[in-house]
Amino acid sequence: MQSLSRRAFMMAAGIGLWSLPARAGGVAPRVVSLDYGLSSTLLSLGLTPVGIAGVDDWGKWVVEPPLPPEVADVGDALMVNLEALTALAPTLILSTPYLDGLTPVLETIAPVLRLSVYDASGGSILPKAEAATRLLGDRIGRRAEADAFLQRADQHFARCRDAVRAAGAPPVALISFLDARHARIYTAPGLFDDTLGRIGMRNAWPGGGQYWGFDTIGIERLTEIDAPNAHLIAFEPLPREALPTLRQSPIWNGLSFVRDGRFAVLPETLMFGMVNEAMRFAGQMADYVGRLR
Amino acid sequence: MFSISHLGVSIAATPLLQDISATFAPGEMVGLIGHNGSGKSTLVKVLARQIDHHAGVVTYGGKPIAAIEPRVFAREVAYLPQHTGDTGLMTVRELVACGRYPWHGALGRFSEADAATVEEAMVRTHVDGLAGRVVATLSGGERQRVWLAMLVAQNSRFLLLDEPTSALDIAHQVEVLQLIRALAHDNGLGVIIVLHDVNMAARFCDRVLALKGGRLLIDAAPATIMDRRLLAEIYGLDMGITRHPELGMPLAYVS
Amino acid sequence: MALAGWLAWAEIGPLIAASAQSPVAALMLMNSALPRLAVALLSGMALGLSGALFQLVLKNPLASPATLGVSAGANLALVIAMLFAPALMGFGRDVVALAGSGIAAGIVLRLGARRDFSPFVLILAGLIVSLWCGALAAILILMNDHYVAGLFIWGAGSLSQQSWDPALSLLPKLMVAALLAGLMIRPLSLMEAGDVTAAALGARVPRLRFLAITIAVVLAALVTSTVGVISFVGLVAPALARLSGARRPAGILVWSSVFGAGLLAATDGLVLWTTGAMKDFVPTGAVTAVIGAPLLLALLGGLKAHHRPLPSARPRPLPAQGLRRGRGRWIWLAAGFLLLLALALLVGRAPLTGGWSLPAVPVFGDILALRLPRVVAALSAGAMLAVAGVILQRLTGNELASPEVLGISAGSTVGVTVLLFVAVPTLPLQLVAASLGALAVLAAIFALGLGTRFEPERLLMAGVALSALVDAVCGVIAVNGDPRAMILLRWMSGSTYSANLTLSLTVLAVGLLLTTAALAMRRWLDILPLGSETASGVGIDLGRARFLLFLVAGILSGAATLAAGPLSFAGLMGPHIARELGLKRAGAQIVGGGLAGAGILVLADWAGRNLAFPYEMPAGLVAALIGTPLLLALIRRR
Repeated sequence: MQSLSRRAFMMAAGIGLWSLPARAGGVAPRVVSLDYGLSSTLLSLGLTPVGIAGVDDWGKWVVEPPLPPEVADVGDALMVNLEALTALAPTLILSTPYLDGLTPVLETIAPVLRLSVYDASGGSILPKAEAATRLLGDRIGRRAEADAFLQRADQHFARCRDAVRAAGAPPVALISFLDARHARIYTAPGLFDDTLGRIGMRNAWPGGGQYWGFDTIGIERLTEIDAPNAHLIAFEPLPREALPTLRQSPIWNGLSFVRDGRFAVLPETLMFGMVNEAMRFAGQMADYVGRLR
Repeated sequence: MFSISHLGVSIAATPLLQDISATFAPGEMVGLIGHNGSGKSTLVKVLARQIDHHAGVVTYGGKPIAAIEPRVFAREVAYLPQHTGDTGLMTVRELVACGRYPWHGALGRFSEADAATVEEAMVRTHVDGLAGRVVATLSGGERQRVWLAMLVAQNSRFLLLDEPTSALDIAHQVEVLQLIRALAHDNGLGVIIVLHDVNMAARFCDRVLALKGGRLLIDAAPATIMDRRLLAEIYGLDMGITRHPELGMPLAYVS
Repeated sequence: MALAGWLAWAEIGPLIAASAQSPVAALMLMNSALPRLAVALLSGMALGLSGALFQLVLKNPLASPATLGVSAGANLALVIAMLFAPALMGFGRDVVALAGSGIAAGIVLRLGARRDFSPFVLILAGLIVSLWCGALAAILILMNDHYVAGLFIWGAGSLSQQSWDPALSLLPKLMVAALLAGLMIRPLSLMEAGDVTAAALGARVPRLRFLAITIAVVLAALVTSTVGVISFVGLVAPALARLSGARRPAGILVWSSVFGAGLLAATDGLVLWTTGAMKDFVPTGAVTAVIGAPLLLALLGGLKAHHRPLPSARPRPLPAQGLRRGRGRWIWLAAGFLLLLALALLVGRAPLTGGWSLPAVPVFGDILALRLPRVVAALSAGAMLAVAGVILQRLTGNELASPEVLGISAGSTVGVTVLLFVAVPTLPLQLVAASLGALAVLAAIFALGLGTRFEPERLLMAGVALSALVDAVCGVIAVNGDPRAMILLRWMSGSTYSANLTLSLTVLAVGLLLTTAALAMRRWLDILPLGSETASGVGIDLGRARFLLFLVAGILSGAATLAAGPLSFAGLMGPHIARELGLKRAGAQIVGGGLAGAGILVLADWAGRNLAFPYEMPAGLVAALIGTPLLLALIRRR
């Protein structure tokens, strides 16, 4: 953990040489972000990126904060449109280890800041997201805004924690349906799992996953959840045939949380995000648990 | 000059040819006859180096045939398989020109002399009128003559022909065999030809080799072959001999 | 079968024991483990029967729902329905799958009928249809990110069950189809003696064949609609039936069903047993492919090497005179090509507004610098694949041969896949991994070829098996939902995105060099299609000539894969377009086909960069999508 953020810091420090003149001139840096988590973090630090990857699907995954209409689309993150990127004349490009293959090309256009939240070194996601937020604040000259944002986040988590405690904090299993027979289940460590910990809840799923924080399972394996009062939460988007098919499945109907109505579908939330996404998720959980009373 | 001594071929322990010895010289047309599976086709394939032999020695010009460079061998010996391949959209002239490969090779220039040889081969086989046609559109007899033209263009000393007349009607059979005979006698080529019809073999060949069960039964002049007793042994069937009403040559018939 | 029984017991036994104590275990036994076993048995039986029917009526030991593209067709139809008409997915699912597999089977059989259902032509046509269906499914997945893993699971065939419904709905449909197949046993026995004889004995051969194929397609579609794509069971079960002594159609049909059921149940048991400890998600369908691909290779050994069907009874319409000559077509070809290049370099979408335009003056140089490497990469790759295609088609005497089919592209994909899991996939490393993969396949091909004088059909079939294997391995990776799967998918879909100038120029240089080499060997390419006897008759050293030609074709395909991914079909289309233009000699076909292939990929790359701007569609996929229907039309017309 410690060594990792130091490494990321040193990488960023090297890039600081280039980004310095933009700050010295008092002009806001023209930043393009290739990751939803970093994009939403930028907005929370009060800097609107000139372009981000995947404008089209922002409403499908990130939703909050809303994306200002003037933000240009540079295409898909793994295949950033280099012509569009060049035309935006960015002074800084935000990238992640997932996009490492692109770095050499991106560096020919503008300095690249690589912020590492999801990577093979594993470990908890939320603390890494917070460290990356501070680092980003440093690099764009908005450290104060970053600290303030993280403080707001902590306050939000604390409020959620209180709400959850009042409602009895039941354990939850979190899934996204892939089809009527399979699902992704969110595991520890992961953004959702870490956030559950922050707000005093427990992940009911006993198994582990990879560093993105999920595992692919057949629905029948949900029987492995043994907490008696566990709730099952599925996130939008749902494949259309999933629920109608499952309602005819004895396994599904035999699951204790389905039988006893401890199952709900909540709106879409980005599972591979950073602090903003954790806040949205925490809010959804607090709302859900609050409604149980 | 082909020379075979004590040749043996077998596939998966089944003998196809056993203990065959013979020689073949330029200028002579030799027919190979025998019942189905007697090994006549196999013998031609061994001579054409299409299959390997396991016993005995086969030499050409004194050298074991396997030791000769492919292109050098092809300049000496041309081979027409029983089933020829798909010529696609090739024209007659293009197919005949393939016969020049042993001379110019993969990279050599296709010279004026090569072109002249191709034209000559087409004239010789009476396909010059078809030169621009697509081979696949020709009739069976025409196509067979085109393939012969390719062999002629190869300018070799021996022709190995595996049933070149099997798909032809009687008129075209005669026409093609006359052509082959002329190549042997006028151009001095050695011809080794597999034939189904013993009467055709007797009429056009200078010498006939009869095979039975993979063994050489007899190697003799046509007149000797046309014998009741011998034919009965070759084909395992009673056959009679009569005389051609005009030419006086012997004709075999099934009695 | 014993193995299947044992594995099934190993999975179910503990559950029965546990179910006495726990209601959850009882639930699992009754509604997951047992239905899963039932679905495995039923699907296996259906696939075995389907494969046996295909093999009997097509007289082709390599026919099966997977090798004929039937399963891929059903899968594509299901993917399309899932994305665009989800309402269809309830009761209409079987119908959707059936429509997809019916269309795929129709196309493959039409292609095959032109060559008297020769095993190789059929399998190649099946592979091409499968690849195309896979390409379209992939592009749909790329455009609809969040459904990815679900669609992958479908494509890889998972048997996981949560109720008896699928098994119970499969059972009666299967029984009806099996009954109909049973009624056909006697006429099918007649067909063993040959079509003409069967017709002389009073059987209506074309109708019989149509009916049998329809039943086989229905069986395969039912399975795909229930559990997804399960490869190779339909191929291997009839082979096992024959190996164990079944000779007559009745015996082959019955035993294929039994072996199919046992095979799939055993494979599934094995999957559950081996992954039980790790609880990793491994789709059974992909595993059957991993096991089945080597089996296909083994079966090749027993297959008659020289199934060269006699020329079709229907004469092909051919021009009676040699085709028109003249420089006209060369000028058209060259002019069209230059125009394309100009278009690809100069015309694009304006960033921000998205309008069509020439690049603005201040960034003209920058934009051109971005476009040039990609255009050069597309151009080189297209030309190289097409030249490799000309070589392979002439070498094998098969107009459906292409570099994709050789498995070299598949080898590159394996290289990149391995890289993704051992290191950070930077571009140079991806290139190294892809080259190593291509070279490994090339080496394997040579090792295989040494014993058989590089007999073309055998090498091609090895490529088919290898491609299937690679697909399966990638499927397993993708199904686990690992985000790295997206990188792989994008790489496989064939984009010039990763091309830089150094790479592009290197590939271009290699391409020019090898094309020159191919031109030097043009006489071999002219003569080899005449048959190996004729070719060796005029003095060509067959082993050496084939070795050199395969080597050139292999390196050409490998290098092209580096530049534009493994799947473009330029290698298939280039030679055909050249032939349509009347360029029939090898030399002319190499040059013309190369230009055509280059043009196709440059155009596809340009379309892929601009149509969905700023989102990119990979050139390879675009080329395959546009080009394949065109190609099928061309082939059908001739």
